[in-house]
Amino acid sequence: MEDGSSTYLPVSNPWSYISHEDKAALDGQPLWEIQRRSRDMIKRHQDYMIALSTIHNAASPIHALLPPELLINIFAILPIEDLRDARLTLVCRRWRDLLLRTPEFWANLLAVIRHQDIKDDFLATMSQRSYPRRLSLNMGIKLLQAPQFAPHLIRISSLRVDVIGGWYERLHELLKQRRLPTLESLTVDLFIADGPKLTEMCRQLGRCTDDDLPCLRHLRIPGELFAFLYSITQLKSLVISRLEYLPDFTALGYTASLVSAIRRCTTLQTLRVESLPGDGWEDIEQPQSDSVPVPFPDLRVLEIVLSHDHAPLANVLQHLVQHIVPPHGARIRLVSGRTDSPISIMLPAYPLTEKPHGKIVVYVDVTGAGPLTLTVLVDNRELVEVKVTPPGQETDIPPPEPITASLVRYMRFIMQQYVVFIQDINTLEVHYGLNRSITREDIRLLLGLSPSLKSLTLHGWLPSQYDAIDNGDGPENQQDLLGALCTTSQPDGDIPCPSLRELDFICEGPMPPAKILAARIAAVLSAREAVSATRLDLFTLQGYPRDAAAEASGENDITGELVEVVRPLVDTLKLTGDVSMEEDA
Amino acid sequence: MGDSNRLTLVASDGGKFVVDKEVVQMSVLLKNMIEDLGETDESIPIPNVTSPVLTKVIEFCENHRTDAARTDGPNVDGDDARMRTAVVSDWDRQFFDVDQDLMFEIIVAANYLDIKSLVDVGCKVVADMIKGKSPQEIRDLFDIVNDFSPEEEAALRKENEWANDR
Repeated sequence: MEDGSSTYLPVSNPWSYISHEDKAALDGQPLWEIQRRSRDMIKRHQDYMIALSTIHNAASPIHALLPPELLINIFAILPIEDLRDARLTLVCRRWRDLLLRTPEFWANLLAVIRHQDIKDDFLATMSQRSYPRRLSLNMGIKLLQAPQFAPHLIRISSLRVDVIGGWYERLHELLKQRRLPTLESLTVDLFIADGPKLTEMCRQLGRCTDDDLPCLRHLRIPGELFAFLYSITQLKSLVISRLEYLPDFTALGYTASLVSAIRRCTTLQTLRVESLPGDGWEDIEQPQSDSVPVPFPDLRVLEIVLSHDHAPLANVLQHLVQHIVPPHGARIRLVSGRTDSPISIMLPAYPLTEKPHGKIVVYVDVTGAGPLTLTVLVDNRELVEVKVTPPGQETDIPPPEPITASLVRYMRFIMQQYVVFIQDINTLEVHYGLNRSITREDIRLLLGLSPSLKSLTLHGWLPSQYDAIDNGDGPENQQDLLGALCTTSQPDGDIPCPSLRELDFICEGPMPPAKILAARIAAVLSAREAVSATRLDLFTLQGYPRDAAAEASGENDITGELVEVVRPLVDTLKLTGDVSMEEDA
Repeated sequence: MGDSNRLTLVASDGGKFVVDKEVVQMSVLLKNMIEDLGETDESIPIPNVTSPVLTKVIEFCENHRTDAARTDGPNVDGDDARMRTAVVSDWDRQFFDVDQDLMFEIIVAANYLDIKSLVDVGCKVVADMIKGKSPQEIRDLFDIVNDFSPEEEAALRKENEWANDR
């Protein structure tokens, strides 16, 4: 028996590993008796090993130092990535015992199930172990309907369901049967490619009401379902999503039904509408219609996304706010995914119902390298933001139409809409695109926007025609953009914007010759002071000479010229960038 | 009378630490003791915490003293939600870059002294150590051995086979 050379054995000489007592008990016994006795010995040693392992584990710092409640805390907050994390129960007995006493761990595992084909008994096991924790689930309707899961539906507080076509009926049935009475948040993504089938489904199913979903506060759902199948009132947030597979489908009476359904939710704090067409409004906007504006006093964010029929956003907004009236200060956001929207299509027409107070800033970015952004801020709070993507936005090529003319038209519109209450714009910042020069006409138009403009900032290139300016033309030089600051078309001869106190030029291109530019600035400022008897409080020039030769020769050292001739004309002169170096008067 | 803004903590091994009351008040336990004692020069014994651990706890409180106000408010979301959302900064990770014994002792001390932010961060650090690891990797990490019998292990593997295959 003591053949240590056997190649069938995992150790070369097993007899040398066992105790003398066991060896004596086995030695000389017939084979069947060796098998019987050794089986008992193995069992005894396994028990011994388990006991020894348990003692070893108890001395591990994580077990010896951390009390069980802290280890349970750790298990409860474990970031669960997928179902494989359930294998933590295999680490050791102590971990298994504690994990079985950590319902949060199992609730977190349930949250990552998604749409996996899990055996019902395992789903039931996890669900039982998660008791009594609230559940946040993202799973298919099939799992949700599993009989083993039925007792746990009552604990679902948040649910996201992807349903295909007619499977939605099953979810609706669960909701109507009040099987999810504590549901607070519901997201439904519906994948259906058959419009008439959807219409038929909506016709057959009854509406879900507050009684069916008494705790529901957050809902994201396709507009067609919400319009025809929901009649709830106590939502805090609502997202009306679109049907991905039916982008051009609009059910009969959809617009009126949707608006009617939304109008019930007067406690909304946020409303995002991704699916609202430009047509169908006539049903609810006829003179005899009893659709009166409904105030939404808690609404903080109203977001409208360009809908599938390419209805102008402003039109949709204009219609919507006739029925759903946000309070003053609500954040209105229009979002367009289109790349060819002309500015005019984006014009917002939301009428303010209350005059905002505070500093008003219109910030305009017209850098042709990206979407045009216009933001109206009141005391740093965003009042309206509109993004417009001009054609060719992905390149540095300037937009095809004169951007400033479009911009001014746009801003005039904004002001017409808001000026009734805002009265004026105090501060205006205009960013020009690459290689775009600020023009005399731009300044004339911008100054004409608001008679009480106090601050004007222009980011862009100063025009190269300064090279050819004849200094003898006077301050209102017809070629010079600065001339627009003192030339007026008004018969009384007053200067444009006499209230202007701050003028900033942020030059992003080569600087004009120093002497000419400084003389022109001085001439214009002198002319304004002479006419209006007011001085600028602040004049800022920031620039970076790009002409290496001129820079080297000192011709573009504008600092000295400006300090000498301009500083006496303003209270504060700021020169920054490479223009100034050390000067900050 | 000494400085009324400072007090002395005495660790279990006799080590003394003079600290600002403001810092110490991150501990709900000590805050309540200070309120009960009023103005006093008496040292406060911390019988369950050794000097090296108390040094680390005070270091954490000094670094997070401006966060203290946040721990005073009502905890509307419960411990679990608060701990899950606890933010672990780079400084915190560096703070817990110590051997396991000291790391667990700090967490236990924080739990005893009722310093919620330190307990939260400590538990989050340990949870991140466990995250994504296999049972064997976890055993290796914490010097644990498999103490299931072959029969038990077979049953557990069967119970978890739906998870193992994914």
